[in-house]
Amino acid sequence: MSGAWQFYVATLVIYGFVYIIAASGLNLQFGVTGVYNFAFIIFQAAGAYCTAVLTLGPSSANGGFQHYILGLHLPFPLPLLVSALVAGVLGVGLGALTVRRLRADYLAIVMLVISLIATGVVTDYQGLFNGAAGLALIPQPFVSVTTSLVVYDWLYAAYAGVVCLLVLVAVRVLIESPLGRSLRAVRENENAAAALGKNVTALRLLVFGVGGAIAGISGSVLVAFAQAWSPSSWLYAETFVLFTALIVGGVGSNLGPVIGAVIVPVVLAEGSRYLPQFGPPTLVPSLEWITIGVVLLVFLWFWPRGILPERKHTFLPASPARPLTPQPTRGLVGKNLDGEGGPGR
Amino acid sequence: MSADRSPAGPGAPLLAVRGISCSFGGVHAVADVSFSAPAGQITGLIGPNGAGKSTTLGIVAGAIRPTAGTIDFAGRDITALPSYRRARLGIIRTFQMRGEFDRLTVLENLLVAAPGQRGEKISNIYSVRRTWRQQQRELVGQARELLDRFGILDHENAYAAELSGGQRRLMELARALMAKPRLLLLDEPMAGVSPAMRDRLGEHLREVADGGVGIVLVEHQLPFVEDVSGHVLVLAQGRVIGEGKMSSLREQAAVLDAYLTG
Repeated sequence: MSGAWQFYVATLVIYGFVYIIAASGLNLQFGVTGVYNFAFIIFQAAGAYCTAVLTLGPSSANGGFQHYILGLHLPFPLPLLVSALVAGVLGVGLGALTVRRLRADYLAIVMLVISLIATGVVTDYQGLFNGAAGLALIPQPFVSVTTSLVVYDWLYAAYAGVVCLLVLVAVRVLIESPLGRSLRAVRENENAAAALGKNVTALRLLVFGVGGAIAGISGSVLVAFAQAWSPSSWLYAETFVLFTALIVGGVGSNLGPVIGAVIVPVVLAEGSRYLPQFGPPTLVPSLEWITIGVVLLVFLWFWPRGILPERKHTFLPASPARPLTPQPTRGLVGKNLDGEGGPGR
Repeated sequence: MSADRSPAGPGAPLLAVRGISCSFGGVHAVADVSFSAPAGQITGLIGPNGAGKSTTLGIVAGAIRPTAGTIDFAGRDITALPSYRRARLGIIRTFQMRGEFDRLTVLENLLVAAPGQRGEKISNIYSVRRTWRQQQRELVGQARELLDRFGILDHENAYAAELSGGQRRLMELARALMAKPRLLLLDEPMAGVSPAMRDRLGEHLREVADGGVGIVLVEHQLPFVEDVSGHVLVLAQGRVIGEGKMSSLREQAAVLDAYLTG
């Protein structure tokens, strides 16, 4: 593969990992807990901006061509960790404003409005994150390791892959735990969950925080690679790309976000690049959005549980009935919560 | 079942409802209702449709806020507590409709109800995994015993949405018991349940009450209420119009007018 192709493929891989991380966070909120956070993308943006201003030097550097707060020039991995924390706290904060008082559908509307307001504020407040022009020349974390651009990109892809794997494992353990079960109970029937002693508001705030932190991590990983971030990077429509990815992959399942993030933002969105130019100049780029919208509708109508639906959580039979030898069908059946083969879906 | 938690004072009822009222858009769903429910007994709550029975249960459970009145539980004023806090004190309700977690299995529906699960704290999930998994195995065993008692163990891996109406009522009862209640609020638990199972359920409920749990039972099937309840309240148009033993209620003119003769 030529250097240019390698650069292209490595970039796609990194974007794929970033989308998988983000989709996992959204899966925790929407898929597992049933929270319609239509402002999800602003938590990715929070992580990205946070990493940017923590990694960049003072605003006056480089001739002061861009204006922003902080500029602390912190070493890796501090920006990543602080970004996750900031996005998580932002999640709990916005959640506290909204979750307590609003039902699911109204919450969705309010979060969408918050997303629009956030874009407006960041665009118009020049001194915060350099307004509409956004931030550029954000330092890369591993430049001292290699001078080869291609090697660097693959190294970064490996780093993004490790972060992605850690997030996936952490989310999986959470989903499979009794806490995850309570979150699913809240999704299914919040009144019944409350009647069994579940603090529904606290559980929703928790996923706002954890999901926000995961979104922040995705933004941090993305911006340290792309080295630039502006309001056009996180328009509200990006949230719906992630929702589409979840619905296509499988809402609430562990691997659904992985499949969905590969199919929707990577294959579908990137695939439009390869279409021959025809019609008015804006037609082909618009086709990307039209395709995503059509795919979303088709799945909602015909395949609402997605490609990898949420699997049934079953438990090993009581010990006398426990099989002494491994089941020959293992691998074809669902896994139960004890991590062994059991009657799956 | 309840002895490990603080008891009500000597002679005090487990639940004391005083003068609760609730209106929806000018309609008095419940008006100045007072009653008490002792531990270890089944208190019946009957009345025609729209009498305010489910609303009364909802108010006691904390799902509906009363416009007036107070509710004491085990000697403590709980009027201001949200429903999840009341549940944690041991007040567990079942629902007349839609009380299940549809896309959770029957077994999982029960597991959700178990109080004090270590794996429900995010700080424990990653640190003491072995501990909460051990606890979960024990809870699975308890849940299976309950499902067996209610005759739905075969359905443990079915989604709750796949159960018949009667099976759902049984699952909800089993789930309520999984929560280790001190006061059970049952909203028409017999609806859709087969006659054979009805008799067994009656026995189960008496056993539960004998274990010290107070039960408030809303039910339309009067023979069943008569069978299991010592004390019965009759509600009509949001008010208590009679109370006592079923046999004596049958002789009260107001009760007959409002309800029993239909």
